[in-house]
Amino acid sequence: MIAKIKGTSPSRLIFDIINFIVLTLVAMVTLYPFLYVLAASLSKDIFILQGKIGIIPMGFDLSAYKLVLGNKYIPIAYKNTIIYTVFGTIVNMLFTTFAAFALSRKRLPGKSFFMFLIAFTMLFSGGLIPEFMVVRNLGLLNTIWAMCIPSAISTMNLIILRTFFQNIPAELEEAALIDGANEILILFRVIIPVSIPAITTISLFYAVNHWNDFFDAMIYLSDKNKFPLQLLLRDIVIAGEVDELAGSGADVEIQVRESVKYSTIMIATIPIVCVYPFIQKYFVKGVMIGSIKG
Amino acid sequence: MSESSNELTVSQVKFKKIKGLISDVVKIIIKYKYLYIMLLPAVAYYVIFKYLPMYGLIISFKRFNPGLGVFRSPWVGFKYYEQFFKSIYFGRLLRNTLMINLYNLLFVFPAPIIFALLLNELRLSRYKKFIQTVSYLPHFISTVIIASMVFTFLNREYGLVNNIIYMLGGERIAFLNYSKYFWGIYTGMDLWKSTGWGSIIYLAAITSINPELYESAIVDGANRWRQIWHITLPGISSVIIIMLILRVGRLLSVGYKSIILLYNPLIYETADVINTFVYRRGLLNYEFSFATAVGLFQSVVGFILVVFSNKIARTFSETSLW
Amino acid sequence: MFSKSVGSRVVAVLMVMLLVLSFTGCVVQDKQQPPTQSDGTDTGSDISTLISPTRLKIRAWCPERIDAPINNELLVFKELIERTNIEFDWELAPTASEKEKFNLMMSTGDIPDIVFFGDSSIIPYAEAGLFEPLSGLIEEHAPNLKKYLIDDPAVRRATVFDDGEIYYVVRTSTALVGGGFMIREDWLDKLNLPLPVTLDEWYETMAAFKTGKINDNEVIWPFTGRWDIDDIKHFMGAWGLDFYWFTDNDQVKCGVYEPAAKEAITWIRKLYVDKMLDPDIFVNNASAWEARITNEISGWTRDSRGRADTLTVTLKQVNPDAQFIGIAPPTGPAGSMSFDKGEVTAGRSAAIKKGSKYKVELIKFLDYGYSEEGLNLHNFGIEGVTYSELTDKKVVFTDKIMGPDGVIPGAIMNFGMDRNIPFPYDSRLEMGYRGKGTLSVIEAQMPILRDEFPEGSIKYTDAERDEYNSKWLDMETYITEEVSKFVMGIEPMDKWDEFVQALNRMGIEDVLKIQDTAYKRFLSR
Repeated sequence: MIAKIKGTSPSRLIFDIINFIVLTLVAMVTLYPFLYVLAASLSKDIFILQGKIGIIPMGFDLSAYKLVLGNKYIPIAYKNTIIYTVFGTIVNMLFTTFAAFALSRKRLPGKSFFMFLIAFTMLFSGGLIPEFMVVRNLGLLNTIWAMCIPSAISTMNLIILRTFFQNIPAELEEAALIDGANEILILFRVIIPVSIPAITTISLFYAVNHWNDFFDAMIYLSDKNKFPLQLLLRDIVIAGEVDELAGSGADVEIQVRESVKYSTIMIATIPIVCVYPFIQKYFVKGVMIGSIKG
Repeated sequence: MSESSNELTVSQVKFKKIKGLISDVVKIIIKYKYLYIMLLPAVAYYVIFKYLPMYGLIISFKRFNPGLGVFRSPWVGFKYYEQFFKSIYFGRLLRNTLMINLYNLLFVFPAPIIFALLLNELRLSRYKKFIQTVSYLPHFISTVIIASMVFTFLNREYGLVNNIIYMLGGERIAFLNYSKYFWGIYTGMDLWKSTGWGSIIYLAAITSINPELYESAIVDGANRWRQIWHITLPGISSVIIIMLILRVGRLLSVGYKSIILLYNPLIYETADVINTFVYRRGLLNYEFSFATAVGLFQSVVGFILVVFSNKIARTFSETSLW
Repeated sequence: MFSKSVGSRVVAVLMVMLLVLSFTGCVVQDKQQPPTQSDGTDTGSDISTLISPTRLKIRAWCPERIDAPINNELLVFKELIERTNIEFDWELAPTASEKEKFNLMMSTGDIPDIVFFGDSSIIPYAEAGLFEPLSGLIEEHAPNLKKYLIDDPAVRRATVFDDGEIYYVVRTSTALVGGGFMIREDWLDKLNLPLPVTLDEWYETMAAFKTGKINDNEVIWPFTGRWDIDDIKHFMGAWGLDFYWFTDNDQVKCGVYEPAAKEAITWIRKLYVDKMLDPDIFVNNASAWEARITNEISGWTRDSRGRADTLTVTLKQVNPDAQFIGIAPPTGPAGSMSFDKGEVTAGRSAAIKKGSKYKVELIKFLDYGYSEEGLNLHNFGIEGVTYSELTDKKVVFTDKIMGPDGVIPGAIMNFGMDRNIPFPYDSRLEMGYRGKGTLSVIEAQMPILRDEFPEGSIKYTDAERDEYNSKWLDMETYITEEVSKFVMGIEPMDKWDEFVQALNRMGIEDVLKIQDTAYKRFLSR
């Protein structure tokens, strides 16, 4: 690092320092909520209620975690979420990549027409019950398919991926065409290797979406053994809030009601946060571009 | 009979034209067969899961009784639209919704781009990864909790913001009691939650730029700012344009969830948006219809805006939605 | 390098297969099992409560709390099956998504024979004829239901539809108090003050709390809440007014539109401006409100009855003397009035699918819950197991229910008592396990409970609803904003008359007329 500093001009150095400070501030500001949630999840409710939690737990207490993790459905829910996420993302990427590639080819007749129809659905939607009825009439209710098929394509992701594909230099494709390749080969041998950052990004978006989903699970699933993590956790939090309204002896241990809200977030989020650093390397610069030539 | 023979010729010509058209289409399909096959799953998906359910939109023209279902509920025409447009608060709701979105376009839209550019300039790669990861964290924390935190920060007695003001010698302010602060507060909250995650897409776009372009620019003596201006920004311009067009389509929508948690009657003047107004309509029966009507109105306006911006994008750049 | 290989053909085929595969997911999934009919086993037929000679398995829909599962192994449920020979095949939905699941289930048209539900979502479906009209069935087969639901005019009026029919069986209750004012008893003791009664005494007590150096806090906001503006109705009762709709001699009125409202609002405004009320009282969310109380900045509030105990228990962690007790609303020119009477609404009710082949058995089953034996089972459980003593005045629970610190969380529900099957809720149940705080809140409100405007039970014609909606939605927002400004001292009180006139211009008289007509219809049921 000293060597880097030595070799730079003063104005660059000033910029680097300011940049460093700004980014550090941003990191602190965005780290804070997470630290707060972590601290609150390990604190006694009374301190949370009093608003005394900063980023350090007060009255260190693991009860919130014990309560949530003690729920007998937690292991199943974790398993389900992993299955839905992996399987769902694969389905997503198959549907999306093929379509994005096709729509990115300038010469495809009717591509504007298709794009229009697809973009149209971003703005107009029929509503919860008609969508539910379609899924039901296909017989997908309460199956893993209900967690993957109705959400097979996110139009936003499709459009973004298409944009990335469009940006790939035409020479690469032309070289392949000269060699007599058809579109399928172009996709697999040329486009995809060059688009690793884009594909990783879109996969990440889809995966995180599945991981965080509770809504699709809520409306399409009825078997508790199929519930994903977020749905289960949401139910636990809400049950705690309803206690005094129900007015009967089923109160979730009131001493943990608040910290439970926060421990559920940690339980759901920590796995993702741990996984992310491992896949960061796929966002590295497009090293591939230089290698596929000729 | 000259007339009838003329007719025969006309329909014969039409028939030939249609035959020609069909064979042209078939030729096209065969020529691009792989691409169309790739498109097929997506098309089927959209038809089945997006277009089929669109019949639900007609409940905005009906007095929807869930017991009768969509098709047997009685028609009322534009009644709910009228109710909405005639409300004395219509102008205010429209204004608030638009203003919040305008602030959003001005601040929240560019922020991830700038953040991505700054991050890209950081050369300490480990620290860069750390900052990246940390910046995503608010995305995983539900809006409810974030709004709750904002609420607490702004508290007059013990909120962090007021504590800082007090330490700097100022007067404590109950921010959420005054209309004039709300748009800023909401924008700040949005920035906090979405900047990090939003920058992912731009970072991916930046890494997709051919590094040779940078190398030749450096050889040509370009400093960093010129590099950013002439290489990086144009390199990600297509992503920016697309995101902008999509954003414009949501100009008339502001979600109610986070506002509900922050607002109160004292600041309805600036905080009450279309969706919160509809939400307050709450538990009256038949609110499905009203909510759908308002939603359809928002969609139609958004659609017009998207068509319009798409045209502009087509005219001035190579990138457009369709 | 590239060749039109077999590979690309394979990929093409795979793509098409993918498309086909995704839609054959429907073929792969299990076909739904049809509900089983009676399995022909004959149970001991000398129990006279048996509804059917053979064990019947009937489909039932019910919301389920995540921490209190529903199944046929629960003690009370098992007992019910033994006594009646009716067994339910449960289709459960988490209470967290109860409303959505209910609407989705109804929209599919595949309705189970009996539906246990929690709120008024049932009403449009009943109006559309999807549920069985019950009065005939009750007359013929359900003498207990008749006694509680039809012969009691209040309950009947609340549940009957305008066509004169009953479509659901409600849970009735002898303890109708939803919530009330609560105050720190230890603060009163510390300052040697009695429970305030009149408006002036309330003001003075608040002032005493504020200046009396109760604790180390810099500032005391005596009274706090997380109120919507219409919650000031709890004070307005002293002038005989509700915030919005109420009835006076069977005439429908609107609180803020009445002449006495000016005086009421002026008094409340004084509380606010003199800093007796938490300045954020209309802004607070649940956390901010709890922070006020747990930091002992405030010692007086109004909330649902159970809070008196839950707040006390929480507070005891920071102050072992803390104790919330109930207090009646202030007495003013019109006396003291509590608007906390719970309405007889559709919560915890049951409805039978139209045309169900088990409708007779089901109505008999529900009837059993209202018999002496049945209601004891639902409320108290089984003698010797869940309770040891039951008199006219009280019940003594066993140590399966009551632990050293009070009721064991979840115990009552997990034995199957007080679940979603409707029954007459007996106040002895609550008295049996509730703490001092809750009981005192109930006690303080009971004598002065006033019938609220039956918002949930009134039915409107389509024309009425349209006019109501078109005028009222704007008016409600206007009232909310304006009254907030008056109460918080932002708008001077001499503008009040203009406010009333504005309401007049916006058409409040028309809305009052609609309410009145609908109410008269309600009364004549």
